[in-house]
Amino acid sequence: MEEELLSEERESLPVEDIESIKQQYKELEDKFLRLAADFDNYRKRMVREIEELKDVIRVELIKGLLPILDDIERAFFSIPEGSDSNVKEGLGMVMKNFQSWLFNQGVRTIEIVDNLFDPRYHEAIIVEESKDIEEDRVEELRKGYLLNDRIIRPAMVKIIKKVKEGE
Amino acid sequence: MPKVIGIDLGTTNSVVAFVEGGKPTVIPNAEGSRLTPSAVAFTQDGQILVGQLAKRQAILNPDRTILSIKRHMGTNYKVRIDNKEYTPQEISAMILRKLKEDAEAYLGEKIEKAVITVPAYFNDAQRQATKEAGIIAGLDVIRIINEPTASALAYGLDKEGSQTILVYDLGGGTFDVSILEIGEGVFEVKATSGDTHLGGDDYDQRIMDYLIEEFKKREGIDLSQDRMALQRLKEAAEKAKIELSTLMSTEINLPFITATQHGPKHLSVTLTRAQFEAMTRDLTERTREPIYRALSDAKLDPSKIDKILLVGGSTRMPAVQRLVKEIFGKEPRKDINPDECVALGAAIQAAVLAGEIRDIVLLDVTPLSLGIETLGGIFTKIIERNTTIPVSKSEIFTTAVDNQTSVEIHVLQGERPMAADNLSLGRFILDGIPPAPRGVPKIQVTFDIDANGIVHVSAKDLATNREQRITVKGGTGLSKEEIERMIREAQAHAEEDKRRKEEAEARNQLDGLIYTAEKLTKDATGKVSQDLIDNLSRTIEEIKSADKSSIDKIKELTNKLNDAIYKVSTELYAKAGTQQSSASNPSGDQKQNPEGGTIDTDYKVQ
Repeated sequence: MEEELLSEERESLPVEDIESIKQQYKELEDKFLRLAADFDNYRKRMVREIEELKDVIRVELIKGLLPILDDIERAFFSIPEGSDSNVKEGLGMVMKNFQSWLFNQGVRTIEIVDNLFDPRYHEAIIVEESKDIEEDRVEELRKGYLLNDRIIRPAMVKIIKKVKEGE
Repeated sequence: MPKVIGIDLGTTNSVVAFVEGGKPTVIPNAEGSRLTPSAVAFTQDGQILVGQLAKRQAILNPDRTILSIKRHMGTNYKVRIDNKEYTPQEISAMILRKLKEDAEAYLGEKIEKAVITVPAYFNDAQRQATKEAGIIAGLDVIRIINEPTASALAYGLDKEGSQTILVYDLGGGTFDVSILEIGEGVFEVKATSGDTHLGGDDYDQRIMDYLIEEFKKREGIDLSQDRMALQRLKEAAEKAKIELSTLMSTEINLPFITATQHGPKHLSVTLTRAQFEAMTRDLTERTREPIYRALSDAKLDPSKIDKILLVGGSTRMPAVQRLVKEIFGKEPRKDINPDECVALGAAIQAAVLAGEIRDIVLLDVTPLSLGIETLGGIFTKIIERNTTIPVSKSEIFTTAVDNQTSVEIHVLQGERPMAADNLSLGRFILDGIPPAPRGVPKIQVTFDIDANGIVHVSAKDLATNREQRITVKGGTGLSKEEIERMIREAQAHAEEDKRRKEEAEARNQLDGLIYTAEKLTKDATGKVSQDLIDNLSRTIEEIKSADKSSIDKIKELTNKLNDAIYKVSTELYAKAGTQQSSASNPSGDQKQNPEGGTIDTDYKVQ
């Protein structure tokens, strides 16, 4: 009796309805899988981003401190050798402490290798020409810094281009 | 389905964004920055640099560095490098390719399609050139949309019915004003105007000029010839401009800016917002005329503008916002990051075209927190407000007195810490709890909000599995105004509520301590001197009838009782230590205090 009822019910459902339910089921399943995949990707990216964020936050903080170190260095080098050597010595120690703290944080200074300009690490702000040099030169005007291969700020450089006699 | 990105291909900077889970998000570039300079450079050794790297070498390579190529889109202009000619679309394609590749690296999938924005005034040739740039970069440009339209989409204005809006876009180097009519999801540009050479850089330059002038006056030295000094001045000027958007005054200190034979020279200038606004008034005022021109072209009166959107980083300046407010007599919208607004809107358009937005499961959140009343009339939240639903959360509670056989679950909604100040959604009783000391039974309270916002609350005694439940229909069916009022009230009463909650907690703590003390008088009888027991009993009676009207008084009583307990337990332990006795341990009971992991539910004596 119960079985009959069930089969009657089944028969009473038109084919179009079954098709439409199948269609809906497919759509829902697709929607669900898509959402699950989106979420999984999101989760993975968040893990990666949180890792990177740690560096980004440190880079931003250190970037804000660097102008103060620049000023300390400027002050140090503005005191002539010999005069007031105690003050100069003390300031030199302040500078050293600052620099070694940066080093311990993993911060490295950007070097200029073989007088080669590399826009990944250097920012050119002055270009000069000279006849008195053997080949092009890159001079550092302000130190650049890196943290784990991430640029905190590029080194600011002056480029001296060699020009031939008579040019 | 591959993601479709939205690109704001700007004159000075470009931004790329995509939609994820229904929300547009900016994609940072390989250098970790959200803005990519629209700069391209051809190095001597044949490399092509795009973005920040191109800018860094610009001075070294000025003939081979291309900035603001957007100004030449759709013209016959050509860039000539090493006897090879490049069209503006080929140069733009290099920028687009970097954006595409950086987005692919970030998302970890191939990107093939994009929506790119252009200024509303771009003609067919300029739009066609932009589309070509996309194709050259390997992107199928599924649509070119107007920048102001993208901004309106970012603000969701397409869903707000028919209206007329004005978009005020002051970027790094260009100013655009556009009037749009929105109706039935269709955007119509009524008028555009602007100034192709006005932007944030001009404001920086004014501060630099002022600093150079001041230094010349004070020290007689012209810093404008010193490239290194200029670089420092430029950075300081931009920093000062940004600070003056939030502060009334800023100090610009550049020690050792230069040196003479007399020693080092320092620059120290205080700049107030009023001074800054005075020295840049003409720049801000230059945006007024294009606004009126656009209004008159659209044959509209300022009062006919329903909404004003502020776009472009320079609109963060208070003087700009004031000017707009003065003209239109209303507050402009500025809540979306003005640097990213256009790209975010492009991403939304991209997602709509890709069918992603339609497929998004619209997720709702609970507008107010839900929880139950616990001992002392405290509201203990189980589901915090703004939690995405459907959601289910459980917490274990316990009884407040010995042999308590029933607990009442009082379901509440709201943000205030005391139960009485919140909205009561219903209450039910779970009985049949086997008699046990207070703190021993474990009652699991579960809140479940289904996708329709209907709240189901159940309480289950974990010892017997006896369960009671209640369904709150329309529990979250408060109007927007009511919800806002409740949140406002919670903020307004925050201080007072905190005090009352602390008082209730102190009272709970004292009640718990009285319970512990009473138990101790029984357990310790015969084990310590009767004097101490009598003293403790007296203290308990005293405290029970004492004035507990303020938190200070309650704390004082708590300390007093603690002292009396301490005297008894010290002697008890001293003896237990010698006798190796396993007498009951009063501090063991303290673990069950409300401060511990379990919270006593509110109870009613049956």
